[in-house]
Amino acid sequence: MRFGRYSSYEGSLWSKGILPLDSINLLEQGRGGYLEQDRSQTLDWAGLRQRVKKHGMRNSNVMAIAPTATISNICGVSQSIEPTYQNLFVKSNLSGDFTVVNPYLAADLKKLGLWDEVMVNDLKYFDGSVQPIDRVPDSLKALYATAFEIDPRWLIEAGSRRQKWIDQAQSLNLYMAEPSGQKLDNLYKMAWIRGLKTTYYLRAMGKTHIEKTTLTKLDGKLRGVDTSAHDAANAASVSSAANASSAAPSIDVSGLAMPKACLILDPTCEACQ
Amino acid sequence: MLNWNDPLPASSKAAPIQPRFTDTPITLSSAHGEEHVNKTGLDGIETGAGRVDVSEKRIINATADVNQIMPMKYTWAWEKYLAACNNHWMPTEVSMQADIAMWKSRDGLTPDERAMVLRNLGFFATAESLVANNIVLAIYKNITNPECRQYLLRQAFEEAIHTHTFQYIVDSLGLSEGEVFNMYREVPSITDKDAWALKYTKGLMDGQFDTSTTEGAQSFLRDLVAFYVVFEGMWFYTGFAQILSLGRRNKLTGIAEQYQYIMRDESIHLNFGIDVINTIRIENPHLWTAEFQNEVLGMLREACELEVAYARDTMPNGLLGLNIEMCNEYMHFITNRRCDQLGLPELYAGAGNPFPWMSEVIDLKKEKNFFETRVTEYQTGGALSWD
Repeated sequence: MRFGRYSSYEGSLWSKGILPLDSINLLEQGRGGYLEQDRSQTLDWAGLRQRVKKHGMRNSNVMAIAPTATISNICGVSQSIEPTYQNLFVKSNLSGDFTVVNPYLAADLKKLGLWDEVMVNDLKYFDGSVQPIDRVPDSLKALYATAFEIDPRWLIEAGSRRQKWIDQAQSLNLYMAEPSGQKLDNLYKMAWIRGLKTTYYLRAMGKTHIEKTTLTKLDGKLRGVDTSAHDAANAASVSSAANASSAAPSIDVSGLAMPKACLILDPTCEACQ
Repeated sequence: MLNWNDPLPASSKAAPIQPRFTDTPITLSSAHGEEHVNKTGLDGIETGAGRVDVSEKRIINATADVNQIMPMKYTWAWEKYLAACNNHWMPTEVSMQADIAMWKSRDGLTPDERAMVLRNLGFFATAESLVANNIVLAIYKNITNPECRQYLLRQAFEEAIHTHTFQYIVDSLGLSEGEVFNMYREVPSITDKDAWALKYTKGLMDGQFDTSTTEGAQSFLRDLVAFYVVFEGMWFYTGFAQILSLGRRNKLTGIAEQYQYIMRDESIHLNFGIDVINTIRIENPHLWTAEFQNEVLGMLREACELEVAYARDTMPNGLLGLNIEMCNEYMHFITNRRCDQLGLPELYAGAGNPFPWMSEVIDLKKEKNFFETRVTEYQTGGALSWD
């Protein structure tokens, strides 16, 4: 301990041999029992407590989980300890707009020979989600579920289990494509009861988006009236040589007029498990 | 206390609502002799008239009462109305600080860029008003469906917000109001576009105008094509591309953001128009003759050429990453998409999008920093569901 203890070390929790792991009990007492936090541990921490008591601490605070919103893009990982925002998205900040592709997904798809222009096009069409793309195997769909496709309650559960090893707080963003009052109420009460010190952003999605123009096919998400049957019946009346240009593999958009959102209240939901 | 293992209140699986009683529409028309059609909804109230049957609802020439939104037939119109409300925004939410600094700085923008921005704003500043006029004065009274009218009312408000945006930009940058707003009477390529569209509005303003004749209904379709497909679906796009292209070079990012909000609204406007036109042609197949289809294609070709002329006027020397040939191809590409949406053959075979960067600027979801900019991925708090 070359530099000695921090000046107000005496009287601190550290000095009493109380690690973050132990301070959870104080929190529970303070709240009169309103705490449901996992405190399981497998190692012997008594030695560390003794060592801290003997030598003291140079710094009063030693660990936090940062948001790493931009640096994560530079390093090619997802931010903080969170699932990826989308497998293909744009990071937009004061320095400009930057396309971010999930390199691990791209590598896995390359191994399977599935990383081609059609895949990029599909990913773009489906807003960076692999779930609706038939060609992607289920194992990859599970692995590359985006932040919006994982029940946000799992992020809180994971955050709660991490918190016992961290003396400061964690940056924890929550994601809900279409938040409802009931879901939010449930989510934030859960964060409290699980002993999280903070949450950070709540990210949602806009209701609709600008029509996409770099797809090989027309973006039909905002279309409300399907004219295909009607037009097929009347195709004879107008000759169309140009229609042959739409030879690109088709994307099934039939189920997309009303996007299906995961209802986190449904315990049987496939996507939320 | 909350417990992970407890199932949450299962409101998700609410039983479908059962009607409490079955409404049998009472038809009184026989008692009244010939059926009276109240197209505008302004005629006297027919007391004791039968309840609305969904099958009587039509976009034009409906026999159902136009004042009763329920029961609904065109749920897509209602959904677009709800989506538009969820997307609500105001221009004043976007910070213009960086734009003001750039506009006032001597070498922030090149003279060509400045000229382009001014002509761009000059077109939009009055264009939104022309579109609003057309909705309120020409379209609304001829649409005999209350779901569609509901959306039209929301759309009309959005046009006001867009006009507000241009007022806000002109005000923020300290531009000459007269120069920008009077441009549609001074710059020939803008005058040409506006005059082309105005004649379709004017055709509907005749007191005798009536959609129950084939001729009248086709005039109405022409107006819908002129405003929804051409004005909002084609003519805004060169302007959008110009500003977004500056934005991606970190120039006038506030205006670029405003344009992205406008584009999000316009995407719904355009698709609403397409849905209305497609429904009318399905409901009234006799209007959509081969001859009429050719006429619509002719309109789209004319509009495309007018737009290319406007692009040339706004940036005669081209700009970094943007020139007249590219705008030409982009307009051909956009025109083809509109043909597709109307079930017509493409006019410009093989045209592609020459601006791959639009993928980044528009197509992909944006993850923004709340502290740096207004986040575009959001829904308004008032729209939060509490079910």
